[in-house]
Amino acid sequence: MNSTDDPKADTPSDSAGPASVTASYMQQTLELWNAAIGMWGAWAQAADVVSRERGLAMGKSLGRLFAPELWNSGEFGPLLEELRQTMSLPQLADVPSEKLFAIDTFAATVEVIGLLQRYMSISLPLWLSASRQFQAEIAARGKQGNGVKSPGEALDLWNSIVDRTLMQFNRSGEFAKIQQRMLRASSQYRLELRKLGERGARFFDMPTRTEMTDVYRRLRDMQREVQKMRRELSTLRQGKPTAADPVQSEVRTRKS
Amino acid sequence: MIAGLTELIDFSKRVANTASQLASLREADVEIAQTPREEIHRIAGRTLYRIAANDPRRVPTPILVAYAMVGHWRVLDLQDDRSFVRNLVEAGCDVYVIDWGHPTPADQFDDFGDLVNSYMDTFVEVIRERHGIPSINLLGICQGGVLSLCYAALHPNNVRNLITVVAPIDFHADQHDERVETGFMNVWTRGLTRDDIDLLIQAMGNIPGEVGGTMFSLMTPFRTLAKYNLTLIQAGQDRDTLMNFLRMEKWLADRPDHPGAAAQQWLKELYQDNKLFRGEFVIDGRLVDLGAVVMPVLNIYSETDTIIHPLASKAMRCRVGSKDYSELPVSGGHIGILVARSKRLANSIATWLAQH
Repeated sequence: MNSTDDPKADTPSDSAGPASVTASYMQQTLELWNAAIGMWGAWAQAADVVSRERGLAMGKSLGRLFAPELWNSGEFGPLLEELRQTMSLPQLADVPSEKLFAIDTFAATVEVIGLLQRYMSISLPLWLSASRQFQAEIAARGKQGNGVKSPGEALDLWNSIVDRTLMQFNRSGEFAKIQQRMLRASSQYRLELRKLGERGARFFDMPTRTEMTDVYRRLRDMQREVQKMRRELSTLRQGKPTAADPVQSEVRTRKS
Repeated sequence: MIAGLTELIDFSKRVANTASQLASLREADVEIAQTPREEIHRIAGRTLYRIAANDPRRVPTPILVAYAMVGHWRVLDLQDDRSFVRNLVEAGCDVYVIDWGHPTPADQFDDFGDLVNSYMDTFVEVIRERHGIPSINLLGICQGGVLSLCYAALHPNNVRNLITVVAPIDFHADQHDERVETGFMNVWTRGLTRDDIDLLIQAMGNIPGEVGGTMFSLMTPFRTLAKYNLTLIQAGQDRDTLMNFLRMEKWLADRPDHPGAAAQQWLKELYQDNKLFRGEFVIDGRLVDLGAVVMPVLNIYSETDTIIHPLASKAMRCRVGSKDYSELPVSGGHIGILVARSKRLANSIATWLAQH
């Protein structure tokens, strides 16, 4: 008979008495309490580290997200990159979404929206400027006794002024800058969308855009190769020396 | 006040007239490129057509017409009485046209080497074989003019005569022109960074046709917006004018995508670096030496072209090696000269070719 079969093996012996049982119980409770305190301490420390390392930065960043200056400037990119950095973790081999792709997509979307808003805020004064020019032109014509005689004439004048104002703006450095940023943001947005799409495509076991692009590249290389061989064949049929011939003759010369 | 009300009533009547005209039309009624043509050869979505002809041939050597890739060649055959290719045929030319098709993502790696040394060269070979001739006449329009010039420089023995129409050679020639209505594309493209262009191509593969359309709209922003509430209403008072307006709209709506790799070269190496003019443009590892363009050249440009500055075209004079170089200034817009009712442009080209 071994000790596991003995029903008394794990119970305090009757000879230890009730005081000993109570002490043992208290000891176990104390140990449990200490362990719990240790755990809460560890969590408090973790919370402190998270708060110190991430929380403050996150709070600051999120606070800036609601600042009117940010929306006026339209510079969302750096802030969202900051947020991404703040939330990022070391890469883990078996954790799938380590790249926080949702933030990237969100960042790209917000960037485009912000720039659209910026574009609107830049273009509004243009309409005011066009209106002032239109009024000045009407007044000048009136003074010269050459006033606008019909609504059609007025409309032509308005169209011409607006067109010129917008053309001038479209050639300005300010427009070029916002256009560049818009182009960059739209391209980035599309690339982020592609990443999302490719995740879906992989899930459904369908070819991704990146894989298709690789196929297109190979196809094009093959087309060029076929085209080159067709030409060489055609040249050979006509009995003319091909581009490869001089090399062959050179090789033959060396061998001889 | 009375005059204003009268004009308002008149405007309302014109709107109603236009509405009636539009209500009686369907998409299928608006047809373009109706001149009979025959498909001669097809390679990877690019097609070589021959325009049917009954007229006697004044110019025995056939002409290959290469239009730009940023628009469809069908603008050259907009309608019976506004057809550049038909006019050429009626002037006694045997006309072939390259249809660059509608590039798909599979064409995104096509660069100038593919366009010039593969597609164009194949089509030129087909024409030479069909006619049993050593060389053909090459006519390039706008971007097609640049492609034709590159082809002529790399394959001079295959080109008997070269004609370029509103083709840019010096992409920086507009820099001293302060007029707001000219050179917008140049200003815009030069304003891009190289990384922006690469990012755009990486994201899109090809440059979508809509991007080109937007750029052209930005050149005359309000006029573009006003064309449906002013120009259309004006055009709607007469069926022929309306049909002409709608055919042009149909062509404008059909903007093919531009192969990404060729667009990268077009924007960076030509628009930004001006390599063709500077003699530094390389295709398939070969320098495009404009000095090798020794065949007779006719360079046609428009003094009122707001897309391709006349100086950008005229710069060819000091770069090509031809001793028989002629210029023909014409009046009209970049597209206007091709869709004009007048046959003068086609007749001038046929006359020049007949003399060479």
